[in-house]
Amino acid sequence: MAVSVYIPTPFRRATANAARVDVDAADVKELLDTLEGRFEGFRGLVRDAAGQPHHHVNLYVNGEEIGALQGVATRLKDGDEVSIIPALAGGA
Amino acid sequence: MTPLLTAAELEAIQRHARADYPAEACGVLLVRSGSGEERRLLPCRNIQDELHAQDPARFPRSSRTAYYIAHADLLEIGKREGEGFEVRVIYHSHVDAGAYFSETDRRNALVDGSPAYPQATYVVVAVADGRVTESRAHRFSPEGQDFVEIPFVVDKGSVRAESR
Repeated sequence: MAVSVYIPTPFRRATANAARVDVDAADVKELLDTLEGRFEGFRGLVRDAAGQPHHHVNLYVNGEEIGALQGVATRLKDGDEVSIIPALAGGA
Repeated sequence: MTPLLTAAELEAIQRHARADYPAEACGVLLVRSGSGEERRLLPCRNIQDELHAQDPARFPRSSRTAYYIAHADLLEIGKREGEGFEVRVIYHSHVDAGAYFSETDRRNALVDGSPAYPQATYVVVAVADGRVTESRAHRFSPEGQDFVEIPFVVDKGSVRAESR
């Protein structure tokens, strides 16, 4: 399953500045496994030791947040677009 | 040298902050450099109240003291980045409080100890009783490895901000 992954500025230091990476993966977990295998710096950046995405990181499949889908078990199909975007948040 | 914010952009940000009071307003300025600089101010939706309603343990604050830029806006920012735009300014308002860069702001602006958007200046607008009382700017200092306040100089309506 060839999936296109969008990497925003904050995470490009882990992908040798690549903004877009193509990955073969059947679900989001496998996609993260593959990215971490390919890019050493990706390890720990997106998810914790238990395999769950950090609270400040949002993952989207075709624009839909995976929390509203099946989380890291969300299935992927050929041509899907995945985005990994840290939250922009703060407060007084 | 182009301004950090034009007079129209500063006015739009302050208008947004007043309009959303007593909730925090948030947004970004995207800039694409080239022969002619292209600037796009993107006022974003603060979904903090929705997150708080869904999961108060994880999101204990309401929009009065916190902001969280909506997923659709994050995706829009990502799309623009893909078109060559850079996140130049990230702004939000503080409600009935000063325009300081809070510990929450600082923590959320870092990814794994490094600034999420190294080129970005964080602008905080203080709103009290529905009126803008002050605006301040903050930027990551590579030397100090922390965010520092930088002068917020309004010159003929537009804003200059120099880190050094």
